[in-house]
Parts: sequence; C-alpha cells; structure tokens
Amino acid sequence: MTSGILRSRRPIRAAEVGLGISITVAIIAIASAIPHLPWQLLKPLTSFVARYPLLNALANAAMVANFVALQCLGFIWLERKFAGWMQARVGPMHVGWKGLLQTVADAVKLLLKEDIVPTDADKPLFALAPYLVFVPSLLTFMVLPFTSAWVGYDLPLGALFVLSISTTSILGVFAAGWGSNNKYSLLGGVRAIAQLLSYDVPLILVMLSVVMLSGTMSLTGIVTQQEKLWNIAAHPLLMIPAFLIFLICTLAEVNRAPFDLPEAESELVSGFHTEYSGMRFAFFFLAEFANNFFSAGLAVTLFFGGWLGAGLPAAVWFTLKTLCVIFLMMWIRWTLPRLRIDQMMSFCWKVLVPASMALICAAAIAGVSH
Amino acid sequence: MDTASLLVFISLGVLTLVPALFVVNSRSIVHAGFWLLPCFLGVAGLYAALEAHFFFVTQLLIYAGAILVLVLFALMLTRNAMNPTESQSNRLKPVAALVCTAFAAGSTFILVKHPWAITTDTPKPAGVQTEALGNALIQNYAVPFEVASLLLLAALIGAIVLAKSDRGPVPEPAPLADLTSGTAGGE
Repeated sequence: MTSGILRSRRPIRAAEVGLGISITVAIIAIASAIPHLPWQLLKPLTSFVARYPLLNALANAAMVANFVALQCLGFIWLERKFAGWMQARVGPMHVGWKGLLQTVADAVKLLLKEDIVPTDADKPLFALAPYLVFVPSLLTFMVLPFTSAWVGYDLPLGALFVLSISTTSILGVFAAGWGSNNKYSLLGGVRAIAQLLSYDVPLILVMLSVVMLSGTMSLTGIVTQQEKLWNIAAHPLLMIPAFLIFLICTLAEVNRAPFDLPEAESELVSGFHTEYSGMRFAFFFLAEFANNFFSAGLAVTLFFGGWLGAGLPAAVWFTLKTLCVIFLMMWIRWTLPRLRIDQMMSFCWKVLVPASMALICAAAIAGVSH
Repeated sequence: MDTASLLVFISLGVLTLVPALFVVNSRSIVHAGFWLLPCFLGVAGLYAALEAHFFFVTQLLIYAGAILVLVLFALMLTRNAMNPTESQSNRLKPVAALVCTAFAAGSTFILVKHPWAITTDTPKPAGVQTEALGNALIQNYAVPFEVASLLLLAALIGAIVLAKSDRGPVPEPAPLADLTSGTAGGE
C-alpha cells in the first residue's frame, strides 16, 4: 500500500517551479512600476480628497477593505495550489489559466447562494457573528506598516493595539458557536475560546520581549530601530526562539492546522461555522485569510525588519518577506496532522508559557546590558 | 469644552449607557453578556477622547478581550442560568433599590462638591505617558502593585484547588507521537 502511494507521487515539475518564479517576478515588476505610473493625472482627485479629513479617512478605510478582500482572492488560490503540490495533485485547473479565476468563481457562487438561518438559532447573535469576526481583523490592518509612509495610522501603542483588537474576534467565534444552536458549533466555539485565550498569553509575552529590546511599542518604530540589523540577527539567541513561539501562537490564533480544533472537520463537521452559508460564510473565510496575512506581516515587522532591504522598493520587500512567512505557515498546515485538544492545551501551558517567561527574563537582562 | 468634543462625549456616553441598560434588562443572559461589548467599547472611546492611549488599549485588551470572554465562558459552564423565562428579580429588590439610590446620591454629591483640578495643558504624547505610568508602578506604587499581584496569585491557587477533582489521578494522556487520528486541513 505504502509503496503504491510512493510510486504515484510525482516530483514537482520544472513548469511549477517556473510558475512560482514568474509569479514572484510579476509581483516585483508590478510593485516597482507603481511609482512610475501616471499618478499626476489623479492629482485633482487626491487633492480634493485630502482637503476633507472625513473623506480622507473614508478613502483610507476603503483602500484597506479592498486590499483585504483582494489579497484573499490571491491567497486562497495560492493555498489550494500549494495544498495540491504538497499532496501530489494539481489543485484547481479549470477556471482561468491554471485555475487562477477559481476563487473569483467561488466568491460569485457564495454571493448568489441562499442565506440559511437554522429555525431555532439565536438570530441576532447568528447574524452578528460574521461581522464580529471580520471587523477586528480589518482593524488590525490599520496599524500594519507596509512601508514607512504606507500605514493607515501609526499608533504609538501599535503592538498593544494589535493584541487587544485581535483578541476581540473570539467574541464573534463564540457568537457563531452559540447562535447556531448546534452542538458541533457550540463545541467549536468553546474550543476556540479556550484555545485563543491560552495562546494569547505566550503571544503577549513574546511580543513584550521584542518591545523590551526595541524600547518602543509603535510598529513603525520597531522596524526603524532594526535599520542596522534585523531583530532576528541582532539577538539570535533570544529572537529565534521568540520567533518560533510567535509562529506557533499565531498558527493557533488564526485556527490553522495543526491547531484548527475549533473547526476540526473530522470531529465537529465544520466547528463554529457549520450552519453558515453564502455571504456570511464568506466573511468567516475572508477574516481567516486576512488574519493569516496580518500575522505573517506582523512576524516580518517584529523579527525580519519589515520593509527594510536594499535594491527593491520598500513595499516589495515587505510583500516578499510576508509571502515567505505565509509559505512557511502553509507548509506547516499541509504537513502536520491535527493535535488533540488536551495535547494543545498542555503544550501551551506547560511548554510555551514557561519558555516565553524565560525569554522575558533574558530580554530584560539583554536590555540592561546594552 | 468646545462643541465637537462635547458631541463626542455625549455620543460615547450614549454608547456606554444604552447597552448597559440592555445588559440589565436582557432576558437571555448570553445576550446580556454580548451587550457588555458596546458598553466596554464606549468606555474605551472615552479614554481615547481624553488621549489616554494606554488606558484606551488596555480597556480593549482587558475588558473587551479578556473579561467579557471569561464571562461568556463561565456562562457556558453554568447550568440553570440559561432559562429565559425565569424571573428577573427576587425578594431583595427593595433593599437593592435602596442601596443603589444611596450609592448614586453619594457619588453624585462627591462629583458635584469636589473641587476638580482643571488644566488646559495639552496631554503628553503616548510614549511619555506610558513611561511615566510604568515608572510610577514600579517606584512610587510598588507595594500596592505587588499586593495586587499577590491577590491574583492567591486567586489562581484557589481556582486550582477548587477545580481539582477528588476522583484520584487522571490517567496520563497519550504522548504527542502517538497521534493517529485527525487529518491536516482539507478544503
């Protein structure tokens, strides 16, 4: 049996490597062309918008919302292709070139689907839940620094704000689990709360150790003080374990395998979003991919120097680094099996929390000796 | 106070107080829990309007993020608390009303009579504020700070003692490597 599976596995073809390289080149080309486009034609419009603060804020918000929605289209396609390659199949192929428009087709399908509400559902909570999940993940993009200029609002306490906003999305998951009036949903919701609350503790402690070494809580400030050397290279003994703990915690926070217990489909059907259909389901999905991009971007900001880099434009560096972290997360997701709930809780409280406590002490000593 | 900040204050006050009414009146105790969210957000907004950045963010983190979730989680583990047809008052109603009125009158009296120090200085930037707060916590107020942490530690140990079952040791769960069930993802 095993040998049969082994024999059917085909090596990654040169064409697929070429596809990956050409996508990377295309992203670099598009991003480096952005400053050279005829933006001055838009000048009357931008100066009009800039004159009114409210209009300006609305325009910024619309840009962030569109970015979140559009990056989701790309990353869902990438994730499916990646899953296909990991499992020796080709992934979506039929809609568009190499299945590139498959996600667009799926999005249209989700928009057209019937919106089903279970008869005995807690209707207000059921309706509210997708937004309670989506709004926090949208808000986190407000402080994420793509470049030194391209940041929605450079909050002086950005690192803390990110943590506080992302924890509130638990409420949406809980509302979905409770409001659906379905035992699988409720179990998923309870699991989500236990998991997110537990993994928040080491995540906060690890971010605190980065903040202690940087001496600032502003995300742009954390990037600019890495100008000489990225954090991960400046304090390798501290920051490499910190990055690993951060990565594990964010995987748990965004409910990705091996920590996708709130929606474990082999046990809970689909967990907290079992009863959702159509656009409401799409919101959960959108939030998941937005969180994914955001946590990768946050890892880049904290450990890998954010937009800093030589040669290419800053936004390209940020995107490339974020893509690398996202690929790491996809690799983990499609390689490791799901943990059991007691295993993941004891791993958090018995391994990650003491380890991150030790990291804080080490960061304090390193900070004093500087 | 100019008109704009007065308007902000009034709307944030409404955002805080109207959901608070719903928290008290809601028949479903889970709904009551969720009504706490706009209430906490309103208070956070008041901190933001006062440019107390650190309090704004901690209000979000501690109240909207942690305490509210804990309240809901505790509800999940409580039987008999979920019955929406149950009476919402008991026979201590008049006493409670009396205590509440006395407390409201007392706090209103203090609010009106106390000579509040009013300053027209612009608030300091967030970094300076946070640094001053941190220094105050570990210098001037180190003892109360440590007492509070001792109290929390006692609560933690108490929770463990209460949660510990009398049924004897729980069998060890299988080690991590023993994992055979479950697949990784699968959209």
